[in-house]
This record gives sequence, C-alpha cells and structure tokens, in this order.
Amino acid sequence: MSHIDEGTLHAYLDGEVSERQRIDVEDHLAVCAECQAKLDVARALTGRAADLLSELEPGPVQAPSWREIEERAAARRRAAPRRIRLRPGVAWAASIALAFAIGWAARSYWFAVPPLDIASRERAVGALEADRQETPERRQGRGAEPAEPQPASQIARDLRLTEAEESPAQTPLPTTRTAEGETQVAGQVPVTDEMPPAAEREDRFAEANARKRKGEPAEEPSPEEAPAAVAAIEVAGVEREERLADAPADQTAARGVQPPRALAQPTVAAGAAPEGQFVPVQPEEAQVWMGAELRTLPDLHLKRVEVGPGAAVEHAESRLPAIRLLYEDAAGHEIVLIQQWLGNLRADLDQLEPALIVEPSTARAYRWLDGEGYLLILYGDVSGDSLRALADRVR
Amino acid sequence: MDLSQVYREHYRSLVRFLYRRIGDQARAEDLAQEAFVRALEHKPDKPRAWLFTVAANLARDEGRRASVRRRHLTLIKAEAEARPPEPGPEVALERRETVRRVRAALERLADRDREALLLWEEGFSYDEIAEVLGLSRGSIGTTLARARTRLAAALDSVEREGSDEDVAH
Repeated sequence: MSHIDEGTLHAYLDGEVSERQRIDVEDHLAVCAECQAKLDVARALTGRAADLLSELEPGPVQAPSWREIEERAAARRRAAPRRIRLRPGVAWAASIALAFAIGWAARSYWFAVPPLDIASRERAVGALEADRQETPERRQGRGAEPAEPQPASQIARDLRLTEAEESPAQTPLPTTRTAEGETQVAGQVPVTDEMPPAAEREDRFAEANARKRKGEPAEEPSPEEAPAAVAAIEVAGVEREERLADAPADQTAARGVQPPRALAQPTVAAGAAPEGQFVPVQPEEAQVWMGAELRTLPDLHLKRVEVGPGAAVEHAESRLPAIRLLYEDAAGHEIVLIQQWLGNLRADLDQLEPALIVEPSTARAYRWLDGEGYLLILYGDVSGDSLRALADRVR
Repeated sequence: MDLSQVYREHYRSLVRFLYRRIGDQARAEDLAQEAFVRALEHKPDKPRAWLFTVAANLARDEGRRASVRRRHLTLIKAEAEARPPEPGPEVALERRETVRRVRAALERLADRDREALLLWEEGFSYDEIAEVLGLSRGSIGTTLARARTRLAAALDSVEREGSDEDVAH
C-alpha cells in the first residue's frame, strides 16, 4: 500500500472515514513509520487548531426569544412587495409583452410630443396631411367630394391670431392634387393654359352667384368634366363677385361650378382665426387658385406649395384662397411665403403698412402689400433684417 | 425539524461561528438572527446546514466592507476587556495578545479553508461541511489538513512578526 495522504490522515483523526478505510489506514500505520510520523503531526495540528480557535470565544450570548424572531420575519413579509412567481413560459411571454408595450408607449410618446416651434409644427401638419390626402380612397374621389372638416389652421396661430371663431360653414378647399415629394420652382411660375380668361371667370362667378340666389343646387361635375382647379377658382370668384358687383342673374349653364360653400364664410374680423387647413398642391394649381401669378423667392429651394383659406391668415381676405410656399434656405431654415392676390380689393387694405411681427416664441413674420395687389407675409426662424432682405427679393 | 428547536439548539453555535469569522460579537448576533429570519421565510429542509451557509455568506459580505475591517481591529483590542476578569493584569495582557495573534492568523487563511475549519469546530460533519461549502466530501479532509497546517504556520509567522516589532522597539 502506498503512503497515506494528509487528507485521509486528518479524516481518520476526525473519525470521518468509513470502516473499510479505517482498517486500511490502521494496517498501513502499523507497518509504516513515515506515515505514523505524519499522523502524529496531523494530530498535533488538529489539537492546536482546536486550541487556538477556543481562544476566540464570544462573551455571554443573550438570545432573543423565538417570538421576536418570528415577529421580525412577519414585519419583513408585510413590508416587502408581494412576489408573483410565474412559470418560465409565462414569465417569458410577460417579458416580451412588457417590452412591446414599452416600445409602443415610447413610440406614441414621441409622436405625441407637441412641436416646439412653428417650423416643426407646420412640417408635421404638412406631412400628415400629405399622407392623408394620398390614401387610395381619396385619390379615387379626388375633386368630387369635399374635404373633411379640418383642425384649426396652424398659420393662423403662427401669425398670432387670437380668438378662434368656430365657423360651421368653413370647409377646406377641395383637394385637387397632392404634391408627390418636393417640387423645385425657379423664378416665376408661368401662367398656365388652365387659367381661364378674366372675362370667362367673371361669367362663371355670375352664373354661380345667380344659381345660389335661386336656391338651385349647383351642378356637381364629374372630375373628368370639370377639373377641381377650375371649379375652385370659380368658387373664389363667386365670393369676390359678391363683394365687387352684382352679376347678371340671367346667366345660366355654369360649367364646372361647385356650391360656394368651400370659402363661403363671413368676413373674419381682425384677430379671429377660423378653422382651416392648408393642403399641398402643384405650383400651377396654386396659381389657378389664386387667380394670378405666384410671387416667389428666387434662389431658394421650394419644398412645397399649399393652398388654404384666407380666413386662416390675419388681414387676408377671408373668402379668397391663400397660397403658402415653403422654402428652405442654405442654412436649413424654413422660410414661408404666404400670399394672396387681392386685385381690386386692395383698396380695402390700403392702410396696411409693412410690419414686422415678432411672436412670443421669437418667430418673426414680415407682412406687406405690394403695388400689384398682393398681400404677402414672409416668416421663418430668421432675424427680422433677414426677413426684410428676403422681402425685397420676392418677385 | 422545527425551526424554533433549531434556534434553541444552534443559535449560540451560529453566533460563535460568526464571531470567529468577523470578530464583532454584536454584529455576529445580528447576523445570526438575520439568518433565522430568512430561514422562516425559506423554510429549508436542512435548517442547520442552511443556516450556516447563509451565515457564511453574510460573514463574507461583512468582510468585504472596509469599515468593518477598521472596526474589527478596534474590537480585537477590546475583546479581552469584555471577557470575565482575569486573575491578574499580566495574565490578561497575555491572553489579549494571544487572541489578537490567533485572529490575525485566522485572517490569513483562504475563505474556504477558514470556514471549513470553523464549521468543523462547530461540530459539523464532513458531509455537512461539503454541503455548506459546495465541495465534495472527499476533499474536506484535505481542506481541513491544509487549513490546520496554514493556521499553525500563520500563527508562527504572526508571533515572529511580533517579536521583530518588539526588538525594533
């Protein structure tokens, strides 16, 4: 038999070997002086360790009652939140559901965060409106059905119009086409062939006006028969005609005239902000809506052209459409040019002096009336001097 | 086994185990009671082994705190003073010094060796020590042999260091 290892010797001394091991160890020790010596050393070490540790005796120990221990345990149970033990499968499912819920909530939160400035708010409104306008249902019914009621105009808020006046008759302009992506326009937008001559416009205004007075329903042209753009300008014309002069009542057979409900609303007093919504259109369509060439800002990147009710713009003619051109300068600032061709109505606004409007949010707007009857409003997150400089470049 | 019975039979043993491990009797009693409170919550099948396992873990956590170590040194000093009055000042001084050296030697052991030794001194069998420390039963003899050998060697080393300091002074 080989020599006995120290572990076995200590186990033998501690009485922790089996009977068979004990006999083997004792048989070996009887014939092996070396292992006998090691056993003596192990015995001495064991005794010494025990003696040393006996030096580390605590003082008198006063054990608290068992009831006290139980009360502590009960108090801890009451204070600790109840644990729900789930089976692994359920726990995994719960974890996945929780992660999904957190992700969804975070998404909802970020989408619900209100915009902090005019530019971002209007970008959001524009993007949402573009998405909504491009749904298949709306594409199919484009130009044939009125748009749904819209929320308060953002531009009206931006331009610091105060009390909002609910206008049930207010309906957004019929959607004619939706801009797909960004549109680049350099310089002036040429007058298109779709724009009817002024005399024809006046005739249509008169026809629509007469029909309305008689209480006859307006003909609802199919989109193929009457492009919405044409109908729209006639609607605008009807309102203009009502203010300028009475048209002959015997003119009939209006072509492509829609009921004047789109922009038929009372004149909005200064400071009021009716419901309204700008929708994206092509520049050529916007030109038809306005009834005149667009005023533009050369050398700036035109991102989008929108049309909306003039009632949404302070000091604009509420019954005429307003056009909004959204530009981006080299520094990434969004510059917005709102315009409305007032034509002969400008006499009513002769008192409108060029003015720089500074919003509490530090956004600035510059408003003026040019010599050709255009009401122009320029605003963006740039300085007032920059706005004035840009205004000089409007053509 | 009824836990209240385990408490009556092994509370003092648990306090001693903890006291030898951390050197602070008040803290040892706190930790021993904490182990029993936890036992009431978990209701272990083998309460004695479970209690000493928890106590060993609590002692390890306690040992990791530097503040405890500083307090530990202070308490080592005061330990002998808390004991019953000794026959005379010289004997008391000698005993105090012995305690200090034994504790210092014990501190030089590895955690596993020290706990195996303390558990053995608390009357644990090799099987129970193996269970508490997560070792195989066959390794306990070797662990204890190493612990005893190193404790003796550490004590000799501490005494030599003490002698050298005396000479230096």
